[in-house]
Amino acid sequence: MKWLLLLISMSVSAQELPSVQGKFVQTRDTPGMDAPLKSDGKFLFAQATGLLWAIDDGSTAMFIPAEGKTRMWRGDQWQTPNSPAMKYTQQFIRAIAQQNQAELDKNFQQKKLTGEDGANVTRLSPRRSRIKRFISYIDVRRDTYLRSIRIQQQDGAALQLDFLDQQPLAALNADSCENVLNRSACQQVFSP
Amino acid sequence: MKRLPLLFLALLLLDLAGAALLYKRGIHIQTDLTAMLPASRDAHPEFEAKLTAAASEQILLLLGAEDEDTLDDAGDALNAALAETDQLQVLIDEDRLFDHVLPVFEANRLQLLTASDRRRLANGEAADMILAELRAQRSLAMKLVPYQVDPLGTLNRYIDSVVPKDIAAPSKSWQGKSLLWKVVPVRATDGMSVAGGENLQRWLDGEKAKLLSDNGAVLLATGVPIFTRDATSMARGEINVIGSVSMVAIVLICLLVFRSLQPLLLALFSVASGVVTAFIFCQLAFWHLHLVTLVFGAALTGVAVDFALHFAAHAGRGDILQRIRSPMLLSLLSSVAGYAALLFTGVRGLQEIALFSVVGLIGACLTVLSLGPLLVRRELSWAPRLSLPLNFAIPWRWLAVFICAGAAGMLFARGLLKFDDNPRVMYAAKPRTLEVATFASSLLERETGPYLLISADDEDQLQLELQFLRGQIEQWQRNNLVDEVQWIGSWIPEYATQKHNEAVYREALATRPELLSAAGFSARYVNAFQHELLAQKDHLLKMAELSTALGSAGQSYAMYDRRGVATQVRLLGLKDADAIRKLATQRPGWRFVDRINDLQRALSQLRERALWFLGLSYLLVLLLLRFAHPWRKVLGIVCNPLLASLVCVLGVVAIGHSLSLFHVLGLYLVLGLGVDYSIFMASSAAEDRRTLLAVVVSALTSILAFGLLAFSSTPFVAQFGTTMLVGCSVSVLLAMMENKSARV
Repeated sequence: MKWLLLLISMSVSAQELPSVQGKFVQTRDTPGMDAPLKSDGKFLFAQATGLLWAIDDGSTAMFIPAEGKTRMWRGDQWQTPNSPAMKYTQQFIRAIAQQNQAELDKNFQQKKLTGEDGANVTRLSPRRSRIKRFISYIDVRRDTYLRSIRIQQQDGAALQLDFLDQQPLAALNADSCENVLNRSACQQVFSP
Repeated sequence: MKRLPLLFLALLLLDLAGAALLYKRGIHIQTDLTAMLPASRDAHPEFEAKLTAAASEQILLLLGAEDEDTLDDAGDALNAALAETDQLQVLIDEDRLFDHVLPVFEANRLQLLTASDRRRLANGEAADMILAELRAQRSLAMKLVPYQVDPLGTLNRYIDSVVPKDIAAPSKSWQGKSLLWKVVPVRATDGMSVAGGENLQRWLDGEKAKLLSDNGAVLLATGVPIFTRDATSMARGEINVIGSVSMVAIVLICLLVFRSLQPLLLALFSVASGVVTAFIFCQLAFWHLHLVTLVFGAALTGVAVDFALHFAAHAGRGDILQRIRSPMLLSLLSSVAGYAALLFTGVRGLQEIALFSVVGLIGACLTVLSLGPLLVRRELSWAPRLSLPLNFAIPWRWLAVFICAGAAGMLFARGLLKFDDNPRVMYAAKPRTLEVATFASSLLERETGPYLLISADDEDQLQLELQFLRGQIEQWQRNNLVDEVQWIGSWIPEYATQKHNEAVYREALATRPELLSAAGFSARYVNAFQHELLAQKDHLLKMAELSTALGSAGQSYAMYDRRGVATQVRLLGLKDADAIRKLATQRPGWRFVDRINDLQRALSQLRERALWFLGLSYLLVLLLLRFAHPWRKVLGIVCNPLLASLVCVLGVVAIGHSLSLFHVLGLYLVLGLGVDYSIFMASSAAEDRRTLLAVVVSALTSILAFGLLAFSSTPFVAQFGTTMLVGCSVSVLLAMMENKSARV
């Protein structure tokens, strides 16, 4: 059976994923806080280009390219954070968005669970000690589209990402970017 | 005559008593070359010794892979393998930083502020800082120190500003392949012993193969234990070849000349007895004995071979002791006088060598005189004519001496006779080891270079010096004297700043709990935070706390013992060592340490003193011989080793080499052997073939035992060997060209 699963996973990872755009709700539970921090925003995803993630107030955005380092928009300029924690976050969100099974298998043990609403949930438990320092586990819900990601951190905090209103996207470029971010920011990140 | 064996028994008893004392106290062999120099004036020399020991045990493991993931996997595999072996101890790794160092920072977070954060808090910008952190919480980013511990982000920024980013993987091409690299510093627990070095090599070979096949990663290793292992394996190979060839040849020569191995046994036994006596005596006299003393002291004691062979050549002929006692004692006294000159050099290492060889020679001579009559009784039945049909008369020899000395002087004046005190001659390394060492230096963009060692009686006093150092570092960097300074003190603000930081932090938040409430923190959290802020901790983060958290790696940055405390300040990209060295000499407790330079200085000082005192040795030998012989004869005796030595010096220049300490030490042995040959020849009758035979056999054994070392791949051994090869050959040729019947 193992070879069959491998074959299926390879075929899944090899398939072309549709480019999508939609809204998200980001909920962060932090120990010591009365209520979770909630943020709404929009995202754009194209397998060959990457994932653009922007909070609605325009203060914060993140671009995780298909290859290369993540850049963060701090309201006035793009920065390239270089912390180990950031490195892992971008690596896993990219792998989850792109359904890169090889990458996920390398870093996580995967277990199929059934959510409270009966939906399929894949629980990713870190294999490597240095990832375990930050992340306890990641739950991923997916049907046709990716529906949610929950990152449970070791310090007790948790980050829940819910993806809503997903629609096809023609291309992720400076033009489509302007639907979620200001022109200057879009031109800086997508200019050749 | 009958009482002579009692002499040996007395010597044996003395040795046994000394050995018993040593057994109780333990044997101490020193390997640091600088320890041969006069004692340091440093108030805390033990810290430098600790650092030297730590550096000599450290190995850098370089792990290379094509991409970050492969490097991560290989790093995990290497960590697992390191956890299982007791041969290597990881000095610093991410686990220790996270599990031990981070909690120390978190517990002291109020005192740890960057200058910019301190300014912002003092300017009342706490609310803005909290808001900025809150905004960051709305991104996907995670932080090293979680939000609830560091709601203003000050500690995250502080750690970012002080902790070196060595964890990041630099990219560098190795053998034409561009790879990402991770550096893992480890300590070899037993890398300096022969067995330990071999075990380490086996472990490294196994891991290299495993990491390559399982992960496609490259593992390289560099460090003193790797060089030691190379030197050991090469020396072992050479000893096997050179040692075996010379031993077989010496045995064959003895069998051919004496038809017996007894003279050889007497020679070996006398030298061994002398070396053991000298070793015990010097261990007790100096407490520590340096490895260089042991090697060269034993070599100089090798002159005693002459006594045994001379004894064997005259054995069985009437009262042998009557016949040889005078030349043998004269020979002993002249060698002792020659070596004893080193006692006046004022340099500890040379004094050790002098005492070792003087005691060793006396012990060996006593052994020959007392055991010779018991061991060697058979008369030599065969004595071929060995003298050459050429009379190189004494006046001509002195003319040759003056010509050679003039040539050497001229070469020196023209800069062609050079001196080389490079400590790297002490090591022999395989090309691959050198390649990896060079690669590691370029990967880390620095050589393991000079450092400042700042010591004080306690940490408070040390802090005052470090306060001064901080100002100096800024000035040095401004004047481009040094690129980067690494020290544990840079991770901790000075005490006054810590107190100031804490006060600023407290003032900014203690009276304004609403700032945290506005950010969404619960009342319980805010109360606990306020409580912590208002509590007077009176705790300052000290180096000791951080050093303990860092474990083995921390101990090389900050060291403590009952006598005081010291910290190591590494100077990377040093441009002007003299300026910092000068400053260090003016500050109490400061010491500028430059290992390579210090070793070079040590070798240079030893070589200079040894060379000057070689002249004194000749003078002492001249004066001593004058008591036994007229000037004409004395000058005839002394000119032989002098001419042989000058030929050695000119030979070194001729082959394009420079003169080193090890050539000079070889010249002392040339003096000892050359004077012996001359004394024995001078005291023999005109047609006495046995003496010349003994001299030729002695020279051949010396050439085989020491001269073949000229072919060693370890430079300093080869330098000593070359001197012996040329010096002994010339000395014996001069002895063979002495036509006594033609003497006036």
